[in-house]
Amino acid sequence: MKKIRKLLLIDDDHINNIIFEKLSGFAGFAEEIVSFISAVDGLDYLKELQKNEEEPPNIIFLDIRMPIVNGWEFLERLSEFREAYFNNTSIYMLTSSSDQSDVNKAKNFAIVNDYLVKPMTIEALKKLQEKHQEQIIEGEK
Amino acid sequence: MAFFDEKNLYSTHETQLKIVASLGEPIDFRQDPDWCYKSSTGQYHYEAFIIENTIIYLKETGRHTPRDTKMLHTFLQKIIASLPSGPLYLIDDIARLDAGEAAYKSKFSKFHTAFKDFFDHIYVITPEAKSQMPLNWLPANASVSTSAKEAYQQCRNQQSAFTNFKENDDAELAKMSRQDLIRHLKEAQAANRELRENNRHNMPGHLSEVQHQDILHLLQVAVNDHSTAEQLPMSTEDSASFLQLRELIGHLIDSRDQLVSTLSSIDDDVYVFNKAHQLISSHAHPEKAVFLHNPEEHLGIHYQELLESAIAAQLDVVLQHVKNTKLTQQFEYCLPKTGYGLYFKVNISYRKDSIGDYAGFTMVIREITEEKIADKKIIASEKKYRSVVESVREIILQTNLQGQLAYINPAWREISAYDVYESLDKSILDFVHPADRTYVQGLMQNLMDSKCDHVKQEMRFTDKFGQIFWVDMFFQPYLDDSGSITGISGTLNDITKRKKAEEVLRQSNKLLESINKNIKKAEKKLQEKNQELIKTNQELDRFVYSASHDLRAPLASTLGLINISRISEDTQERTYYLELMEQSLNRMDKLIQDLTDYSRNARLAIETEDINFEHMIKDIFQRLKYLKNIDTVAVNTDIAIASDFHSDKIRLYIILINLLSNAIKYHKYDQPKPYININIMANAQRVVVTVADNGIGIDKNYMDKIFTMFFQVSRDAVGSGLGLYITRETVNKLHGSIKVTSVINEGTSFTVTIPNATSYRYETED
Repeated sequence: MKKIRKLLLIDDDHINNIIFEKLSGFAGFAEEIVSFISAVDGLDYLKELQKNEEEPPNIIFLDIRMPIVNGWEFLERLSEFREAYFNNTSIYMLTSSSDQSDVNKAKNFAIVNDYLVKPMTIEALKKLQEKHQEQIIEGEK
Repeated sequence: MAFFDEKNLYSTHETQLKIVASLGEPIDFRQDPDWCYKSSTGQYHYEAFIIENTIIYLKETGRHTPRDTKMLHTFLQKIIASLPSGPLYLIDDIARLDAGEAAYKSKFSKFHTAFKDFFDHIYVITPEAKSQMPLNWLPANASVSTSAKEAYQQCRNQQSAFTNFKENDDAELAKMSRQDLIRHLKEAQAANRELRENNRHNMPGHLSEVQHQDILHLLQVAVNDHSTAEQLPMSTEDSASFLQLRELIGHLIDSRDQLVSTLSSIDDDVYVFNKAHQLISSHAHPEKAVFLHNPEEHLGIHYQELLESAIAAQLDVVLQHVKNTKLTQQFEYCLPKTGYGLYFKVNISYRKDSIGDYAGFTMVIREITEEKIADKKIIASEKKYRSVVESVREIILQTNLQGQLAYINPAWREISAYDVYESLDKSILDFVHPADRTYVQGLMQNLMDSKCDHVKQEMRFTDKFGQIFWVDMFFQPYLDDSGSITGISGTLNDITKRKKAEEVLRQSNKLLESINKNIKKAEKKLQEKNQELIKTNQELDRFVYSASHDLRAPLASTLGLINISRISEDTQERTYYLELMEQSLNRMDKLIQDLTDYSRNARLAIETEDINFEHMIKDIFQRLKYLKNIDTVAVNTDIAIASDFHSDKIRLYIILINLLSNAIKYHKYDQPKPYININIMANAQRVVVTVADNGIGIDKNYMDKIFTMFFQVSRDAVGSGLGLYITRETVNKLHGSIKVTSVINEGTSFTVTIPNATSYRYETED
């Protein structure tokens, strides 16, 4: 299976980011992982990428509950500057909240692909990787 | 010239009737005004029947009043005048003795005394049962018969002239020619005349009467004689005496005429009696003579003979009194009659002669029947009015000009408990409720001053026991006959029950209003509580959401760490993961600790006790000693206690530990002298605690959010987002205040003020 080329991880809990990187390494999930513990920093990074026309991330993992700017606000702000440039970027909510209201809310955002509940496992990552094979191959062409 | 058709006589004296009838001169005298006399009322009439020119049968077919006597007298005179002279008999069927002796005597004295001299004999018809009555007061020429027939028979026995005829001798009568009959009658009439003439002269009373009349006549002649002394056929001496006498008589007659004219002008009957109590003078109004008609015919008669026994007996007594006192006395006399009877006022006055001795008395009689009837009617209507006034439940009163009660009806006692007698002459104001007295006085003054014609007012009065009673008061001026105000008359209607009911109603309304108000208040409170609940619910939702997420987050991290620990084979790596697990679980522990504090603050009642700040600060730092960098920060504590400070120890602890742990956690350690200054100043009223640091400070954009639940500027391993929220909630609970000043990158200062419970009372919440 081919690895996801580039992955963006936004979660205010640095422990989660450590865990995800370790799992990804075991699973052979992504070639490059960029992580931020602040949504604002994550947004700045994406703006910069778009501005410099650098390679966009294939997948974004986004936590919901974060201080200052939370996951939902991140999505709103992203929509404000998002261009066709991010058309091939899939966004997954990765959160410890299993609250149904959050699940429903996520469905209202067209740019959100799926809603995943922590903790993340190797099995879950492999399924996701499989799902993205076609997209990865397409991207390589 | 008449005949009779009276049934009694007709059947008995058919023969005489037939004789008269056969003369061919029948007269129905009932249609003839000459023979029929109607009483003044027009209702009753007398019929006179004349039998054989000598007997007058007088029949009363109704009753008459005393006033009719005079007219009847004239009527009888007319009948007698039309008859040829001769003896005359009266069969009196006017007043049968069935009414009792006294009544008959009364009638007789008024009627028969006027006629008794016309007749040679009077036969009084009386029922047999009463024929034994001692009628000794009847005149000498009167006798009692039990029926008209008997009277007639007696009459006939005295009439010798009629012996030619035999009763019921029809056969003989039939044989007689008209000539014979006329002759018989004429003979009878002649005999009648002769008999009557003889009778008149043979009756002793009449003789003296005649003599008396003769003397009067002579005097009259003398007075009316205008001859001079020379013309008189008598001696000079005699003629001088005669002229003197004539002059004297002239004066007497003048003065008598004067007196008579004076008496005529008054309605009363006047009778003068001499020392021997004989009638010596009288004046009876011709229309109204009460007891005696033609009293001049009774001169010289003692009053006891003259008057009927009842009045005579009364007079006896009064007269004795008059003689003793020499004063005028009055008495009233009632003549019994159906209906009201006839009433008279009799005035008896003492007469004295020239030397002051008793000379007899004057009796003045006035009929007062009409006044009496009017009086009786007044008394009856007064009585009726009284009984109405005394029995009504409304108080009726009358006062004089001073407002003193002149009359008040018994209803007063029912309502006020005051007796009528003890209330009379007291001012009505005395009974008015003291608070209303001046007002009522003003109203009464207005009425007396004619400023208004009535007042109507609901008013409080006070009863004998000091209890208030309410009346509907109606006052109006009381006017005398001349129309001037002499006081106040009015009514008081007891409306206490109504007033009480109104009062109860008013109280109930008041109660209802206050209940309504309370309900509204409660509703408002409920609405507020509802709003609060909605807010609380939303907060709770947010809280549950946040708390469950924040509790789950470290758990999820820990589970993730366990996952990778399983995969990892590097022992060093695993140790690192274990440290991360610990961090996560500490964070979770801190959250649970905070939630406990929050719950404690919300749930527990305030319990105050003496606070030792030094111990408390020491305890807090003991607990915070595991915090990172705690040893690198300088803590300066300045405590100034001016007065014992009491407060809730647990809550104060929560406030201080949150402020201090924040100051340590969010400090800036990349500087030479990181510090925390704690300043505590307590007095009798309050304590002011300041926690100031030279730490990272707070972005001014977040200053208004730092106290909200689960707000976090940055997430670290030990932050729960509840610290300042719990701090503010706890400060509020203790009725204190919290302020914050901060400059980013320079430092933050929190100031908390808490009241001193030694002087401040916490009210227990509902």
